[in-house]
Amino acid sequence: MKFPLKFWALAGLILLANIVIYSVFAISAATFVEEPQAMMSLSPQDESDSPAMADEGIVGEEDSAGSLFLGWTSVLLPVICGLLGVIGLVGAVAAFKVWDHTKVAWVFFLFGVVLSTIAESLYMVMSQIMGLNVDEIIPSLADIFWMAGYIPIFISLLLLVNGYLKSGLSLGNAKKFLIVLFGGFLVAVFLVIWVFIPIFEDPETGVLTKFVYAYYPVFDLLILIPAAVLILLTTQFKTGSLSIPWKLLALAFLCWSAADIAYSILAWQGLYGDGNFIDLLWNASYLLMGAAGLSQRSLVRSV
Amino acid sequence: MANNAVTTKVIDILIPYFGADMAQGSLMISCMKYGFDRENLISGNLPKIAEDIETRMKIFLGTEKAKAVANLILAIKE
Repeated sequence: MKFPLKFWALAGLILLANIVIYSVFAISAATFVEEPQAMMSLSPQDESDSPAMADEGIVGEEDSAGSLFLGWTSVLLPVICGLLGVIGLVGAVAAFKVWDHTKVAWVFFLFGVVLSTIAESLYMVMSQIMGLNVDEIIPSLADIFWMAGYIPIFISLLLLVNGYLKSGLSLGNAKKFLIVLFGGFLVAVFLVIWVFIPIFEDPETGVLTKFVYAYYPVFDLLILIPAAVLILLTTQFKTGSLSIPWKLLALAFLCWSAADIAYSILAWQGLYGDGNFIDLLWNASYLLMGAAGLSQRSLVRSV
Repeated sequence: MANNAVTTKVIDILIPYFGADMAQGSLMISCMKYGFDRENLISGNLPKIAEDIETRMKIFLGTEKAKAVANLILAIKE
């Protein structure tokens, strides 16, 4: 089975660039918060000697350009990562010559990621080109596509798990599934307390907005559970090549769900913005999906 | 007791896909199902073994390539 080295290298570069750019802006933002406080403590004589005050106009322009760059980076990287995910998954679908249960599952994955990538693209256009505050428009057109994308992804995970159950292969240690169920229960309790109750108790938020806010974490949980089951099933294979694409897919959905749940909490409190490091998890999830697709293609071709 | 040549060749085909433990386990399940001696398989056992393995691999490889792996098993000679 051939290892898609170029894809992994590209994915690594993208994530590294993401980390570097966000880190630079995070440090700059922290430095800028400290500087105005320092400026305010200067005496009038000092102000005239201060290069910082003299350059205030340039500092303002740099800050504006920096914010624009960060804004574009925040929305463009998910589009790029989504496209790479789609490309990898197209490779997997194309590798299956027969339309069977397995190909249908991967087609559903592909469809879900395509919808999600369209959503990322729409978000980019609306926020950066049209200048809209998309996070205030709920549901936006991007939300419609994101929400729609969950459904085929959930179906594909169910198809894979169901296919495994029908294969007659070992399920492994039953205790591990109890741990997954318990973990899912804990996540559900966490979501109810920290996400759903604040949403539903807010008298100022409309019904439709509440539905959208609740939709994401509900489907994240629905995806998280079969993804965790896939991981448990495939750990039995250890280094067996059959399990590699599934492990990558499961990891992708763990990242996706974690990012979504974190976003739900932060967005509700108005704490999410450009340059938030949870973006890395979304970008990583798309890249992992692409890697899963390429691994699946390589696996099928190796026979 | 050591595996015979046929058993060893079947395991060797399965290990890269299933990993060592699952390969052994998968063959054991098939042998138990049909009452075969896992450590002393004969050519006559291979069609049933191949059919079982093909069924198990379909969800991972798809119909065409699962069949290809089954054909590898069927091609084993004692």
